[in-house]
Amino acid sequence: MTSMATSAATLDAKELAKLSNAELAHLEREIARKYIGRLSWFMVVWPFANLICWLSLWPLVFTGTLSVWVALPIATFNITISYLPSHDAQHDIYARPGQKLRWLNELIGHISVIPLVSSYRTLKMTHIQHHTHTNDPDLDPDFNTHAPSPLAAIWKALKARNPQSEFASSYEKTLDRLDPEQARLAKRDTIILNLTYLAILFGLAASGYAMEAWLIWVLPLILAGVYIRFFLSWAPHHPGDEMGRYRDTRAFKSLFGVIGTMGMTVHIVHHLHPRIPLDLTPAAFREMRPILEARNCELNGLYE
Amino acid sequence: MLKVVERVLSMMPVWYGLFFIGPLLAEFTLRTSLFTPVLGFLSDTLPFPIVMAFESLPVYGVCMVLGGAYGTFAHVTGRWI
Repeated sequence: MTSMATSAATLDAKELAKLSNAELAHLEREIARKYIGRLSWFMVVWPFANLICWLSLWPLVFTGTLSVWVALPIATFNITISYLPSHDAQHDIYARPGQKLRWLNELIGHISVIPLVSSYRTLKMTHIQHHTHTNDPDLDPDFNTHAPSPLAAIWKALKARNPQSEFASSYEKTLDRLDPEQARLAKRDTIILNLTYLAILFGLAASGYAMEAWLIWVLPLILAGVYIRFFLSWAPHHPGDEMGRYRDTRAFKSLFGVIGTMGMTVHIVHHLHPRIPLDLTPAAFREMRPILEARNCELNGLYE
Repeated sequence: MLKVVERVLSMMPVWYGLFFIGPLLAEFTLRTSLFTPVLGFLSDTLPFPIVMAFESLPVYGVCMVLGGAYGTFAHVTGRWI
C-alpha cells in the first residue's frame, strides 16, 4: 500500500490511477478528516441572521417602512437559504449526540426551516434515507425530482405544491417504513407547522393583509421550493440512472457558480463525506478532485 | 368528532381557496391595477346591464367565490397546476 504520508496532492493522475480502491479510499478519508469536526461560525451565524432578517420584514412592511415589492426578493432570498443550515444539522455537523453543543445543532435544525414550513424531524429522517438509497426508484424519497431536462425539473418542482403531489406522498411512504415512534413525531410536527402556517395566512387575509402574506411568504416559498429542488436535488443527481457511492452524484458547472448554487456544484463530496460543513465542501472538493477523477466520477470539468 | 375534524382538514384546498386566494384576489383588485385591463375589457364587451349588475356585487364576495371554486378544483383533481 502507498505510504500513509503520501497525499493526493503529491501524486499525479497516472500514479493515482495505479492505486487500489483501498489506497484511494485511504487518501480520500485523509482529506475528509481535515474538514470534519470543524465548527464553522459562518454556518452558525447564517440561520439566526437569516431568520431575524425574514421576521423583520413583516413589521417593516406593516408599518409602511418597507415596500412589500422590495420585501419580495429579500424574502425569497431568506426562504431559499433557510434550508441549508438545517441540512448541516441533519448530518450532526454542528454537534453530534452527546457533545456539548448538541442543543445548538438541534436548535438550528428546527428554527432555520420555519420560513420553509418544514419539519426538521421529517427532513432529517427522509434526507438520511436519500443518502442511504440515492437514485433508488423505490427507496430514495427524492427520486421524483428526476426529470429529463432543466425545464422539466422546474415544472415538476412547481407541481410539488399540489395537494396530491408525489413529493408529499413519497416522504409519507418513507416515514411509514421507519421507526414508528419517530415517524409519528415527524408527522405531528408537519401537521402542526402546516396548520399554523395556514392559520397565519387566513388570519392575515381576514385582516386585509393577504397581499403582504402572499408576497412575503407564499410566493417566496414557491420560488424557494423550485430553487431548492432544482439545485439541491435535480442538478447534482441528474440523470439519476446510476447507483453506487461514486456514480450517484455528480459535480457540475453552473452559470451561478459555487455560491449561486449554494455549494451544490460540489455536492458529490457531500454525498461521500456528509459531515463536512457546507462552507468547507468546495475546498475539500478541490483537494479531493484527483482522487475522484481516478474513481471515474462524473466531474464535468469543474475546477479542471 | 375526530371524523368531522379529519373531513374539514381533508378539504384544506377548498378553505385555502376560499379564505386566502379569494381575499388575495380582492386585494389585488382593490389595491393594484393588475386586473384593470381585464375589467376594462369586460366592461367594454359585455352588455351594459350585465356590467352594472357585476359592478354592484361586493368585490370580496366575488373573489371568494372564484377562490373557493379554484380550491374545489384543486381538491377534486389533486392539483393547483
